[in-house]
Amino acid sequence: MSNSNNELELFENLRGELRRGSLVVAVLAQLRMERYGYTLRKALAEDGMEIDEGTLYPLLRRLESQGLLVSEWREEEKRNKRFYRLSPEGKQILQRLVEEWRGINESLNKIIAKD
Amino acid sequence: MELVDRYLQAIKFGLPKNQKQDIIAELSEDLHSQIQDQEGSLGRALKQEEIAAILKKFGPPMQVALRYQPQRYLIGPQVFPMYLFVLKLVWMCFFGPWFVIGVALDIFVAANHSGHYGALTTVLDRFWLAALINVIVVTIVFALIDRYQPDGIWQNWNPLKLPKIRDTNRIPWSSSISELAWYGMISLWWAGAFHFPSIPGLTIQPAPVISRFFFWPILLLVVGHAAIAAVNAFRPWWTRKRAFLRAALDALGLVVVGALLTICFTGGSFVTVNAPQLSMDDILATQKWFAWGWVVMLLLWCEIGYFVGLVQDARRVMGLQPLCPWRGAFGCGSRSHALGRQL
Repeated sequence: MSNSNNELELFENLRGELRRGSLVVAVLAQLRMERYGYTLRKALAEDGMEIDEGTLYPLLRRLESQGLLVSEWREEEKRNKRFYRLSPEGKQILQRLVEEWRGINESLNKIIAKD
Repeated sequence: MELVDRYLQAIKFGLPKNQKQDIIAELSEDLHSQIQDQEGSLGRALKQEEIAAILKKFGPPMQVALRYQPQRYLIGPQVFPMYLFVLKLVWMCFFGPWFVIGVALDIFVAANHSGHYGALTTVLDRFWLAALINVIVVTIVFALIDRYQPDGIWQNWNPLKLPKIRDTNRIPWSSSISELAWYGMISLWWAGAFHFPSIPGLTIQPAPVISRFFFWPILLLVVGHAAIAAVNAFRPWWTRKRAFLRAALDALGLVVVGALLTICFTGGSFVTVNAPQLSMDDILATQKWFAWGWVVMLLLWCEIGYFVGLVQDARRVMGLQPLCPWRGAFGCGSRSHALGRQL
């Protein structure tokens, strides 16, 4: 029982590490189109990349402070919402990250296929 | 929606000051969007429990707030292993001997004056205070090093200047020679081959109990150590046979020192002082001062030294590597073949 708990915890930790880097790519890619937090989270979930609010919003702030995103408050459906979109710098970085991701994916596929 | 406002208020408490309003507005919008979505699909207003379930899923307020704080630490991962190493060193080289000596001295004093427990409590009080101050000082020093470390401090290193692999079974020549000189001198003095210069009008001689019961064991102990040190100087690798011999001497040393300490704690004296011009009080004070000096020396040099020596030599006899407390910091002691190669 304890062993299976440890195994589960270990798996969750490793899964978290694996997802952490890819989340940035996913968020940047989704924000090629302007979105606010809630719709961004829904769009990610629909594409199979669930992310909780506690992770998403601090990540958005970090990416904005790094100059990869720009945001503005706007009223929509009678409520103020903060809309995010990729900055020009964010677009360049995303392009490079996507190339990197494809390279990693290709290498991993080759390595995994050997087994 | 009062529940949502209460929840947001709890989050606000832990947020960075200059971003509070902005973050709360954004989180509020997300929560209201979620509630609106659920109400739309159910076709009615949400109950308190259903709103509570949404908040529960959102996460504990402090945890949500902490994610907006920059990651902060006192001592970073680069400096942390060195910090632990220094703390271990302070504990091993300072607090261990200090504690043993403090307890022994206080018990010794208490045995001659008041109760034991009061003295032990005093030494423990002093110990924890000193330990706390030391840990705080070391922590502050390393926090400053971590904060103000110059750029490139970790990059400017040369692999060619790394220390040689430390082989714990090799005996340094300097160590053998210094042991030989020390034990040789003590052997000659103990056997009466020479005397230390005396003070006119003051004669200090071993007490009868020491001459009668301890002469031969101490002579065997110091001559044995001198002989092993002489062999080590020319054959600087530990072998099982030599390690066993030294372990036996260490065990004898523990017994002899234990017996001497018993004499000391029960108010006995190691020396007889003869000084016609001194009063009896002065003579007793001199004997006591001498005994105190012996307590410190015996405990520090002998009891701890023999105990550590016995453990290390016993490990060598069993074919194990001697303990290497700083292994965690520098990864030393990784060669386990040295003794095996010799046997």
